[in-house]
Amino acid sequence: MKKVLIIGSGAIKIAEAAEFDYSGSQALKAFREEGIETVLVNPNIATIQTSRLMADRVYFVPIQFVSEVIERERPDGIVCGFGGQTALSACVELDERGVLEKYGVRVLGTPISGIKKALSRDLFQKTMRDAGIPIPPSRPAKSLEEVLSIGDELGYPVVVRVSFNLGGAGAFVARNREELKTKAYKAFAQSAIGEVLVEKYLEGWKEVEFEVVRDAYDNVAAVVCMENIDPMGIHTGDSIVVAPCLTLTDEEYQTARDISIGVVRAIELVGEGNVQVAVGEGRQYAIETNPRMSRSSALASKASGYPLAYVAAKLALGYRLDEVLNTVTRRTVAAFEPALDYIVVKHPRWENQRFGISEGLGPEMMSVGEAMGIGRTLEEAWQKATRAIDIGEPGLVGGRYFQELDREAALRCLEKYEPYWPICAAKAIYLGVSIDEIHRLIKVDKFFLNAINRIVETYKSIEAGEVDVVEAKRLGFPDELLKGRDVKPVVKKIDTLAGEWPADTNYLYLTYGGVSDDPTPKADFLVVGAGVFRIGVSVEFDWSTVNLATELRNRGYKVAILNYNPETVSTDWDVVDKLYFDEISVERILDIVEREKDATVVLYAGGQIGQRLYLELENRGVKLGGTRASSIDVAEDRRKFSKLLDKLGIRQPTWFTAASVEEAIKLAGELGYPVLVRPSYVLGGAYMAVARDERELVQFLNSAAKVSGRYPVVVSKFMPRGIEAEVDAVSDGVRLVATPLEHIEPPGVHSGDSTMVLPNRRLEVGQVREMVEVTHSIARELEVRGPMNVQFLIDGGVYVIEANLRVSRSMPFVSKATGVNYMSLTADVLTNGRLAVDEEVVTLKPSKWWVKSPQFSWSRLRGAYPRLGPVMYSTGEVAANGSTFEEALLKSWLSATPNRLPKSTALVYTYDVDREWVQAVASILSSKFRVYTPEELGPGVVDMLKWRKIDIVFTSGVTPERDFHIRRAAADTNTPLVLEPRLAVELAKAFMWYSEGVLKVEPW
Amino acid sequence: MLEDGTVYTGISIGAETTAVGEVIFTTSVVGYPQTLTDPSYKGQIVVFSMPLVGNYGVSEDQMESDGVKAEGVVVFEATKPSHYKSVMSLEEWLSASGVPGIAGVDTRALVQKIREHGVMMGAIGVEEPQFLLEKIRKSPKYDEVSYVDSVSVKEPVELGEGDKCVGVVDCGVKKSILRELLQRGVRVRVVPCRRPELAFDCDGLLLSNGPGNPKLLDTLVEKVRQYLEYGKPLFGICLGHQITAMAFEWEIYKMKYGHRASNKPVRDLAFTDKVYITVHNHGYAVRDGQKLKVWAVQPDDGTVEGLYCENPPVLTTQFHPEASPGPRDTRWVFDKFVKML
Repeated sequence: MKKVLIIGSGAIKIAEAAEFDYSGSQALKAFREEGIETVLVNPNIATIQTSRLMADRVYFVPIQFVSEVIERERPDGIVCGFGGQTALSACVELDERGVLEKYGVRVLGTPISGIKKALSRDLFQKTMRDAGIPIPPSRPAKSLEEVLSIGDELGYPVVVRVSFNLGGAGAFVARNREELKTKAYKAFAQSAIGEVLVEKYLEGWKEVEFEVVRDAYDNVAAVVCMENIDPMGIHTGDSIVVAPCLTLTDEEYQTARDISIGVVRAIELVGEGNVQVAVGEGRQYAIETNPRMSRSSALASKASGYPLAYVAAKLALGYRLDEVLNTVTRRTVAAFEPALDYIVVKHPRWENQRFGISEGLGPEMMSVGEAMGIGRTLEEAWQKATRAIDIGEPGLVGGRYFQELDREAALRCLEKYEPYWPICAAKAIYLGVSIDEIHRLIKVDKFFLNAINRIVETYKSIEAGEVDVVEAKRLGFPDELLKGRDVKPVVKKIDTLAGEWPADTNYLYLTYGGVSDDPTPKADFLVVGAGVFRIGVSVEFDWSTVNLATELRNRGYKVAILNYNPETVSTDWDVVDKLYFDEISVERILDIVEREKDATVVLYAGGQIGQRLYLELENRGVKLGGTRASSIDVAEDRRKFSKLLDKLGIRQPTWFTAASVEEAIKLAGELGYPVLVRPSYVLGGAYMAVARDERELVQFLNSAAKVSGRYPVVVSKFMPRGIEAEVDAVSDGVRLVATPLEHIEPPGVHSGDSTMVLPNRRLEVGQVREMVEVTHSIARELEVRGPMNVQFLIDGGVYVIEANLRVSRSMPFVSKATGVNYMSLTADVLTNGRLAVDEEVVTLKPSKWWVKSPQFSWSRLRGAYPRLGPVMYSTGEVAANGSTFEEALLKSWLSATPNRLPKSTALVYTYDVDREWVQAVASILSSKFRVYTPEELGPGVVDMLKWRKIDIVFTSGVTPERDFHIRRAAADTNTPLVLEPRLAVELAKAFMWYSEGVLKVEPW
Repeated sequence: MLEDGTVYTGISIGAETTAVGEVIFTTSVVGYPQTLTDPSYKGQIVVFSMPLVGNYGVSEDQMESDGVKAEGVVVFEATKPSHYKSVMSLEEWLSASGVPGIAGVDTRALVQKIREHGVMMGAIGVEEPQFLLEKIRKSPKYDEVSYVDSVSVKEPVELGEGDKCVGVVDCGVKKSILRELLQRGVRVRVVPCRRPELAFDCDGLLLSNGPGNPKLLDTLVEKVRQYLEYGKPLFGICLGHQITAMAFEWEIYKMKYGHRASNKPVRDLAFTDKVYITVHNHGYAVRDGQKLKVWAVQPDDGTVEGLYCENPPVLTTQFHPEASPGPRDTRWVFDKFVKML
């Protein structure tokens, strides 16, 4: 084996997130150790794996182009298990099309036949039956009639699952025949092979998961047992998960383990996979298996310290399980099952309000990120995880959400099974609802409800002023609620063997459940990571965290990372000298700094989360790297920043704040419409809006915000005709290295949802120069020492919208496109105090066209209305390059799912006021495509989408009252959706260009 | 309180009595009822590295003997149980069994201490440290006490039905070992540890697990040698493995802190050429002897984990193929033994 091709998972989307960056990176490391040349196909430019240090060759091309890459690279082997469902499906397709056979590419790890057994529901069932493994009563169906008859036969409720999908897309619970009938079509639409599975719903059963490793010689280890606190019926990705399994007896544990091992044997797994098992009273069933690294396996690796992906890669190469060393101890072998002497709790983070989703949790995953808390009590780990998802709650009790819930709201939340139900349960208990009643509503095991009860009891004792602080700390209460820092935590190691062997690595957490620290060496730098992923914070900030840490290590420093996101590479203990897997808070950083006395704390690499810690940490005497806290404060505070711009003579869109709706109306009238409205207190996820007239302004403020002296609203002039642009830069206070970027979409579309182009295309040279000069003068004035990003609006003149004195979302893109790593520049400033350039200003420009496109997850967001606006909705991003702009745009756009080239038909329409573009797009496309309008198709439009008779939908505006059904049907049927006129026009032109052009497949 | 004077304070759970024993730790995350009722823990104070113990309470079907055999229990937290089978909590159970325990201890620090210094004698009690230290000093060392008599049957017991008969020499046998045999359709005669000859007429003999220092059982070793002359199959588990090895002049040594876990690999060098995840509970091990061949080793530290011989037919495991608690991956060893009959 000389050369191996690895398929990545592409953009971050719901159910496929940074965990695949982590597993892919580990696999690349494992292959590189063996001297094997690696080729990586992954258009997700923000990942750490797509770097020259990781892979020998990287292709930023759509995953669907992988066969061209094979043709060009001629690898000896291909690995399918490290890029999520995307990579697995791509491998199956390559096999079915004969590509692997044609080029003699060997599949490493689990064979394709085994993958198919795991992926197709009925093959899975047959395999399990043949192997004598119990599965829930169920049957596959290929038509609506079949679905209904099986439902009748099994008895309701039933759960319907989709064959060949990811993250449970299309799955639902039906409590009666009617419900089954109305929801079934969506499940069919999500299946690549038009097949669904109707299964008896195991309501109230426990769900546990085992991560299993198996080598080619049938040696197995069930590495970690994880238990869902939520019962069966809630998708694992939306469940709060605890490890190790806590409520199973040994008999139950071993039965579930035996089932899991039986399953992986039956599907011929080689490498790593997970198995979900339903545990009832005296009975268990195998539910499903993933014959690949998954979100759960990333979590399991972090929960146990066992490097599953690394081991899986070695096993795929043919090593025996007892030939691979446990890299934590470096003296014991990988053929073991870690013993945990701590408890971890994983908590999902949702953004349902942002997407306007009111449904409760169910079998389809909707969360966008997750956090993990580690403690020596369940309560400590759980409260840490609750804080870590960063919704502003200080734990299960005592926060704003907790305070605002009344008994009725808390019970409704439990009945609907809403996200963040534990806080509702805590409030219900606080208000006197019994554990039995809560158990009846949500079926969560009382063991876990007892833990919530204990937290509530302690909270009451805090309120009564008679709390035992030591006990409260052990139960995970923060200083904030205890008003003081009298009790200090200890540092413990995660060593995979519960202390039985000394560990070489420094994978650490802090806990109040102990009296002594595990000894560790000192670090020079503490780099603070990005925390939980959410809309707007994703793998790009993990890229900067890891790259900065690596650059500092390359310069000879000892580096520690603080982060708590189990999906990431930054929480791989193998990339740093020390990993603190813990909360990102003033309290925790102070605890760490008390031990790492001379360490420099770096807050800007993880994005926004560090920005709010500057002032307090600096006041407490913590040594912070980079820009001064007072400068950060100026950039973050709208008034101070505005004053600074005035002082420097830099233009900005006019703005004001209003303390009442009346005042807002009056001042907006004077300013002139349209205006951009930003309330400081939002209801239901409407963080920002554009108002085109007074009516829209009043409507928004009355429905979506609370406006008062305490919660003022910021209103600014909106310039829809302008061009939005950004400058990504690193400064040392004197010098500046900068890269200007241009958006395709106009102002009013969140920059995270915009398509970005490098180098500038529509802006004039003078405007670009002015942007860089403005950035430079801000950098000098604020003495910026590190990364910064300035957002601009160009409409005649150059206007500054905002400046962020931290890394930005686009820095990995810029770094890879220009070939200059921004984190290397940043490390120079941190360690040398200056950039290694001679000129005062260096403007970087790539030699090719580069385009970065957003990835949306509309198909996963049940009931959401696909749209664009000043609020960000995308979950990830992809990028590609080309020798022409059209090529780069097409490759980039195609890299996001479900985008594909339209063959012959398009639906083009808008119900927005601005509608000239419809004609423009239609006329560009008309010579090659049949262009429809909804009026032409009438009520049949939804059916056309369902039957996949429409290849692409172009629309604009926000008009759910008129076209919710169209956009929703497009999302549910995975039809590409283009939601903005400027992008629509560019894409239409690019589609026409493609009829003569070629999309070249070339390495980065 | 450890014999070197180190004091750990916590909350008293279970009976308010004083216990003295060898302080050992187990890293198993599940199976505390099986562990505490395993007669092999006689004379020992068990430290659980798993911080939460007691989650699913206790129930009869999880007992490996007629009651708690460990002398004392050390946990970080004794939890309130929730399980449909649970009849009482860990705390209630310990109280009812007259066994003391302590909660709130930094068990990770304690485990690391034992790892670095090796196992030590210790005591749990509500008394002053000085009193406990005196008590430890006055008590005999674990290695010097013979515990098997207190956990062995007094008279032979016949169990099950079948054509073949297996004699089980009970030095503290776990119920699950008997269960494994009975499930394979053999008749079982359990005989007292000191009188194996009462089962010499069976088709095979199983030397059970049990507590304490194997070196104190030289009369049993002598009797095993007599049995071997019949040329009938012999199966030794844990202590029984050590006794068998002694019968072939293997050397017994005390390990620094033993193997007590349900996650340890064992490599099969002879029968299947595979590696298994196995259950361990031993503070002694064997090395350098005659005749018997090593079939199983622990790859991390090279400990001998199983011996065999074709003539006379001998099979042993230092680990626990019956599991309970722990993975059941090596139950096939029982099949192998039954086939030898």
